[in-house]
Parts: sequence; structure tokens; C-alpha cells
Amino acid sequence: MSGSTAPLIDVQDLRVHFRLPGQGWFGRGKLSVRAVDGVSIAIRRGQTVGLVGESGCGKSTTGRAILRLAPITGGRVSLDGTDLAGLSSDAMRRARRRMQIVFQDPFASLNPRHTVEQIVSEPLRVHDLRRPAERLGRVRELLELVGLPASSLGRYPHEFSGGQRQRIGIARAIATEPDFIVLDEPVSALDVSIQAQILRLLLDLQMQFGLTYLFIAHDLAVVGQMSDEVCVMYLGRIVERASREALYSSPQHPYTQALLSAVPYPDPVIEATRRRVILTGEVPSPVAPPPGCHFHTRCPIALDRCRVEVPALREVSDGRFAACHLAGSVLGAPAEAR
Amino acid sequence: MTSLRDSAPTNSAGKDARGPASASGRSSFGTGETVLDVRDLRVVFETRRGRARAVDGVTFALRAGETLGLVGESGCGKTVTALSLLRSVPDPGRIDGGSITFDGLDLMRISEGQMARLRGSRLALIPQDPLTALNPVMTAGAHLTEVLGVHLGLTGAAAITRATDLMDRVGIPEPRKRLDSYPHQLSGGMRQRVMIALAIACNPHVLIADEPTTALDATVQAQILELLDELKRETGMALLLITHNLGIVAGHCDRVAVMYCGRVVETAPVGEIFAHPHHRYTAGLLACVPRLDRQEKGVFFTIPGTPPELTALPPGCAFASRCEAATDQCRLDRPDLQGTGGTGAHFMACWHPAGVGEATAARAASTRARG
Amino acid sequence: MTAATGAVIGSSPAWNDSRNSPTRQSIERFFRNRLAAIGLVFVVLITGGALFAPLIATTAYDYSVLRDALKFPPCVDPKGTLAFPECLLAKYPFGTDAVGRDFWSRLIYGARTSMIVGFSVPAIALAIGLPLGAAAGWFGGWVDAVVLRLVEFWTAIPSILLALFLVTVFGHNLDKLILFLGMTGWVGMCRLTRAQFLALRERDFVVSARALGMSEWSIMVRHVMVNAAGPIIVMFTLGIPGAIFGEAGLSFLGLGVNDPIPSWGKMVAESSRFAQVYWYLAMIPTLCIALTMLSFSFLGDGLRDALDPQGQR
Repeated sequence: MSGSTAPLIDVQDLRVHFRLPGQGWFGRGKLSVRAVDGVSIAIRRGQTVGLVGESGCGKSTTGRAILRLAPITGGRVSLDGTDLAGLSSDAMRRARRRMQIVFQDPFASLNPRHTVEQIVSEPLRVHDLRRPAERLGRVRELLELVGLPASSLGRYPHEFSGGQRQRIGIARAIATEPDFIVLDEPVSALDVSIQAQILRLLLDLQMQFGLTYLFIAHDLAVVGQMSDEVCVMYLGRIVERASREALYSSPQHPYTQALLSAVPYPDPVIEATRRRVILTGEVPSPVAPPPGCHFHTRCPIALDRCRVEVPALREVSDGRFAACHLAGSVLGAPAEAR
Repeated sequence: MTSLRDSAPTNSAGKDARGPASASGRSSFGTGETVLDVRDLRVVFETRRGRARAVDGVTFALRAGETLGLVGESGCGKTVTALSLLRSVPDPGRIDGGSITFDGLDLMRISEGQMARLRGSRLALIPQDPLTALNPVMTAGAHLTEVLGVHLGLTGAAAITRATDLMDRVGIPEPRKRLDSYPHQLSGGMRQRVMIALAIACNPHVLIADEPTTALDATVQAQILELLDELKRETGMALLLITHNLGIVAGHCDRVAVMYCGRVVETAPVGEIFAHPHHRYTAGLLACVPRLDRQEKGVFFTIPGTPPELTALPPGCAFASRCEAATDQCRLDRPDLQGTGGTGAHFMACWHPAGVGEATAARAASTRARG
Repeated sequence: MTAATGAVIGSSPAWNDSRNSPTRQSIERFFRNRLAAIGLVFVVLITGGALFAPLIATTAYDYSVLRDALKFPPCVDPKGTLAFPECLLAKYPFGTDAVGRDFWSRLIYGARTSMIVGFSVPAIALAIGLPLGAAAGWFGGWVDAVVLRLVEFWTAIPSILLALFLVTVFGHNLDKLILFLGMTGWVGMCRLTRAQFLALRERDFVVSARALGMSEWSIMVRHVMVNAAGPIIVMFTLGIPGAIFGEAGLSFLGLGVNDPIPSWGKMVAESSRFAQVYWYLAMIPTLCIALTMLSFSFLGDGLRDALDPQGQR
């Protein structure tokens, strides 16, 4: 947790552009979607970086591209200083052991035709960890770690509730003793009381094994409970990056301010007195994002400059980065004041 | 019988039972007449695994101009309750008992034809997913004029004019042009606005909104909720807001009913329930919700375990298996809703309610996973 | 070693508890469907008859006694003396055909022809369609584009006409018939496999397997094939009646199997000349064709409902 150490995961200017399927004999589309458009994230060992944004902002694609599960158009991803792009396929396979992923939908992320034992032992088999005779013992150990009874071994995913399935997915992810896990909306599909159980499990595991997390979510309140640093994404770009305390206490980008103000408080007294920044319109299509600052079409304070010039992510104040021409000047006052 | 039933008519007689927070003047709740009165509603689903009591004796009343929040987690019966109000419980479910009185009509007694005339006119529903609720081959305008034709007999230019007004009313820009849009040409928020336009087309007395914003992004969710509040203020209709999000309840409801395993476990004015939750489940749920103003990494309160299967409910309190304060009494004897004293509008079904001091203690005891 | 064995044995109750395995559940769902179960019984009977034809048939299918030509079966013989149950044990329980061959024996061997065609044709379709569809769905891009164009081209050719054309040009026997019918039938299998692979490719458990560093081949076998198998089995089963009907049709037109090998379609054609008096000669093989097709259709529909993941609850 010291600031001096090199990041475990270093993402530089990551770009993922998809080609839309088009017409023509061989189906080569022309339009391309810039799902991720120049994202840089660095995560130090043992830390959690939260990645927040609305649907279609590219946060999930970012997570997958870091693990090389989505085709990367540009930029580089390094694990412990090694550029993943330069690895041979064999070395990449070994690197995969150190990076895992937990998915949002606990119904889709487990093969319905495999038993829990098969699902959780698969990583051990693929990476040839433990001797075959010892694997069952290890699977039991993993199930215990995630809080599932040993009687789950021979059961199938459909026999479990959403929260329990998510535990199975987590057991699979930690089976290879990874350093880094992408948590792709791990609690979005779960009920509140179950959400808290899973978040707590993830934190316990992080402490126990020194795990490093990229926590992807659309809910700012949840991200705040999990992260040391938070990045806010809008249409493929990071618009604000700051430590948790800084981001929640004085957000710099107008989008972050709107997003924070859209989160309802479970407290009628606060809700009654709170003034909201309600954005008009919805997120534009990523196929044809607006020019200049992507957010200018919905921004309450946009200037002419915002419509033509792309704002760079710059340091507004100590450790706070925002991609807004006006950040640090007009926006000094918190959102509620306007 | 239960004290709630005895006092429910008293409430509807106009006795003002505002909680402290509602004094903020958010709405005119409490002044209207009871428009919907649900008593001891029971819905069962006959499944291969046995009989599931999805709704098991739910009682509540809704007054004109007020918003009642029906809160609970998945499978607690909140959606089934909403559907049974329209008498459209999906197979293999059926209403097994209880009474629903709407505008003085006993909905259990009227004919299917009468019910069909009520549905979508005086008693309207906004479903959770606007994409599947709209017919993909019909334009927004066709949806609207159909409803206007069936319920109000409007056709031709009159229907178009009224449809345009409605689209304008729900905040759709260029309403005349948008009438010709097909559902796939509209964004998620716009689709939900069309659904709302459909629901308010015939000036309903009661609007049931079943998780109206769950499928939407946070910034759009705020827009839709604001719109619903505004429509309610203008028309004086009653709103039954079904949601799992306690934040939405806090900001948009006057009263709350918390459901667990098919039963209402606590009901109170919104300020009451958030300030002094009595039922252990309500208190736990409130403590679980992640809050922006309590941002500290790694501090959680969790409710252990999972809800029991609806086909195998215990004889006692359904929450007992997850409750720290549960005793043998809780496990064997099912508590009924009873008044808590206080404002007279707060009811809960718990043998060992959390006291005021205790609730805070429970929150403070939220274990630290880190630090 | 003992410890490891102990652990395995200790877990055996859960381990062997296949009560809730998806396969087991599918089987249960299948047998809850009355029609499907009846279909299965008939399919087993017909297949058994075809397999053990030499044991069940009373004579060889090509054994002809010319003076016994066009004998009535004892049950319908107007001059007959045998009553119902005994008549089935007579020399010619179903009578004889125009050249004096035992009709019962020919029916049984005809079932053999039908079953060979019925199973071989979808097998060929599977052999062509599955790899092509899998490659198209899995790799996408230009592979997919090429396969799709091929499928579209093939779809544009009327299959029966193509089979007729091939039979006319290359002549006809059982092997060629199967080959030609199979060549026209792979398109459906290819489309289905492609769709399955395309959908499963994006599923999270497949992405997760990739994140584990599993080879593409292992992912295809362990994660995709096991989930795609259901619909493919259904399509295979539903392809059987089509093939049987195709063979019967071509044989009826005289373009099917060669004499003296019996085929139900050919038997209908041969018998239709005497249908005025010997009506049963055309009717019995027709019924056999209908019953077989119906059984396989019920079986296929039952399998579809049983294997459908949507029905899993």
C-alpha cells in the first residue's frame, strides 16, 4: 500500500474498436465502435480500483481487454512490468494463471452441464496445479473459503441461488491463486442482503491473499465500499480519476457530479432536502459519439470550446484527474450549489 | 383480529398520520380517500415441488394522491401482488383468498369483462421492462391510439391529438414525430416514457409501477422518477411503487410496506420506517444498503443466509433462520402485523422488534472487514 | 493413497447423487411426455425389427415361389378358414406379392432399408454440417462468410430435384441414394450448429474458460459441444423421417434401391397396380412409412422439449 511500488497492472492508452457487421459479400462492416478509446489505469498490488459508468460506456470491455479477452486495437497492458502483448502463447497461458475474472450474471457464467466439482477443479486441471489425487481436497478447501458446504461438490449450478452461484464463480477465480481479479459487476444481479455478503467475501479474500482488484460497477455507492481509487467512464473514455475520498467529497467532472446526485440515498430526510442535477437526454450512441467532449450534449455548463476540442485527462489538483476544460475553475463549487 | 385491520378504516377516514419526514411537503398525501383496499390477499402457485405461497395474507390500503412503496427482495411476492391487483396472475398461480376493493368495487366479484375495462384505464400498470412490454411491430402512436380507442372511444384525429399531448406530457421531445417511432428506434428511457404515457392515457386513479427504473441507467432513472412524482402531483392519482431500491423509496414514497416471503413484515410512513425500523429484516436491509454518505472501505453489515423456499416455509416467522434475535417463539409461531404505538400508522410483524437504541447499536456493530 | 481414496469415498454420496444432473432431468421430462414415450417404443420396435430381420422374417426377401403369387393373407382371404390369432402363424401371414415372395418378410427387410437410410442420411448431413457450422460459428469472420455463402448457394437448389438429377446421372443403388440425400440435407445441420456455436461463444462460462488459458479446442469440446449437443440430437432425430420419406419417394418413382432389395416405397409402387383387389398390399407399407415417420417425429419433439434449457426448472 505504499505509493512507491510499481503498479501490478499498468494499462496505457488502451483502445478497443469494434467493427460493426455490415453488408457486402464477406460481411465486412465499415462503421467502427470505439468501445474503449484511450484508457489508462494503474493498479498497485493489494489495491482496488473502481471503474464506474452507465451501460455502454465500455467499462466491461475495458476489463476484458486487460485480460486479453477482447481484441485490443491499441495501447499496452503490463502485468508486473511485463507487456502482455509481447508474450508467447505459452507465456501468456502462464500469465493467465495470475489474472482472473468474476462475471455479473451468475446464471450465465457457469457451465450448466458441469458439477461444482468440475467447475472449480477445471483451473487446477488446466494449469496442472496440485497432483490429481490432491485436487479434490483443494476444491473442498476453495469451497470452504467462499462459504459453500462440501455437499455442493456433486451438484449442478441450477440447484443454487444467485448468491451461491456467485460464490462458485469466485471459487473458480481464486483456484489458480491469482494476483489480479477483474470483478465485472459481481453483485449487480443480486439482492441487497446478498450483495453485502458477496462484497464482504471479496474483501476478506483480498485481505487474506493480497489480491488486486479492478472493480467494475454502475453503482457508485457499491464502488465506494470497495475501492481505493475510482475511475469514471463515459463513452469509452475516463472522464475522472481520483481517490475514493476525493471523488465522493468533491467531484470535479460535471458527469461525475450528475452521477453522484442521481444516486438515491436511503434516507428520507436527506432526500427531501437534497437538490439534484438531473441530466437531460441519454447517453449518445457509441457508434457516432458527439465531437469534442463526448459529454457536451448533456452537460449543464458546456461552452463552445467543449463542442470541438477533446479535453485531456489532466491533474486538476493533487491526485485528482478530470477530463473537462472547466474543471478546477468554474466547477470549484460542489454540484449541489447550482 | 390483527390490529392493522381494525385501524385501517380509521386511517382511511382521513386521520392525518404523517411521519416526521413527510412534513417536508413533498406531496399532499393523507388527504385523499382510500382508492384501493387490499385485505388478506393470498396467491398460490402450484408447482411440481409443491404449493408455493407467493403472497400470503397481504393487507394494505392506498389513498388518493399518495405513493406507497412496496419493497422487498426478489421472490418476496411484490410483483405477484401487483399482478393480482389486476387479476392477471400468471399460470400456474391463482388468487386463493382475500379481498381487493378499488373505487368501491370488489375486484374479486366483478366479471372478467368489467375487469378488462378497468385494466389500463382506471387501474394502470407500468411494467419493469419497457422493451418486452411494447409490441415491436407497432409504433408508439399505434400503442397509444389503441388504448385511447378501446377505453375512451377516441379515433382518428382526436386520438392522434390526444396521443401527441400525452407524449408531450411525459417529456418526449418532438412528440408528433415520435408517434411514428417503433420501439427499437427509442432509447430505454424513451420507451419507459411511452409506457408511462400509455398508463396515464385514461387518467387512472391508481398507477402501479413495477420496478419502473430497474432496467435503466442511474441518470435516466432519476428523470423517470421525477416524471412520476410530477404526474402524481398534477393528477392526484395514487401510486403503488414496487421496488427493491430503498433509496428510491426514501426519495419518492409517502408510506412503505416491506415484504418478506409473501408477507408484509412492516409498514409505516417513510420517515418512521427509516428512522425507527422495528422489524429485524427492515433494520438489516437498511443497514445493508451501500450509502454514499457512509463511504468507508470495507465496512459492511450483512444479513446471513438466504430466504427459505416458498414451497417450504417454516411454521413461524420466515425470517427467523436469518435473524440474530430469533427465539423458539419466532420459529414456531408466526407473528401478525400489530401497531407499534407511536404515530399509530406504524405496524410490524415481529416478536422481538428492534428498539430505537438497538437499531443504532446493530448498525454500529456492523463488522469491520478491514482496518 | 489411502487418505485420497478415503476422501473420494467420503464424498461419494454427493458425488454419485446424479438425481439433479441436467441429463437425468431431461430424461424425466422426456418420459413425462406420453406421445414421446410411445414414439420411443415404436422406434425401438422398428429398429429392432430391422436389426434382427433375418430372425423375424420367415423367408429370405428374394425367395420367390411363383405358383404362390398374389396369395391373400389368411385373415382377409374370402375363402380362408383361419380365425384371427392363428392366421398370423400361417405360412404367408401377410400374403405374397406378384412374384410370390412372402410379403411379411419383405416388409421386415424393407424396415431395414428404411432404417439404414434413416440413420445414414442424417449422419452424413452431420458429418458435413457439424464441422462447417462449428467452424463458421466459432471463428466467424471470413470463415463464417464463406460457409454462409455456401449454405445460401446450396439452399437455392431444390433438394429433391438435385437428388433426382444425381440419381439419373450416376445411377441408383442404396449407397448412392444415401450419399445424395445426405448431400442435400447438411444445410440445416450446418445452420443449427453455427447458431449454437455463435451463441455459446459469447457466454460467460466460455469467456471464463478462455481467461483460464484453456485451449480453444478444449473449450469447444468441454464447454460448447456439451451444450450444443441437445439441439443437434433433436435435429438428427427429426432428420430421420425426412430421409425415410425421401428414400420412399425416390423408390416409388423407381429411382431408389434396386431389385430385389425391398423398400417400403418401392412396395407401394409395385402393389399399386393391383390395388383394386389386393388393397392391403399398398396399404400395409404405406402404414409402415407413416407410423415410422410419426414415431420419429414424436420422439424428436419429445427430445426437443426435454433438452430445451428453457424448460429446465
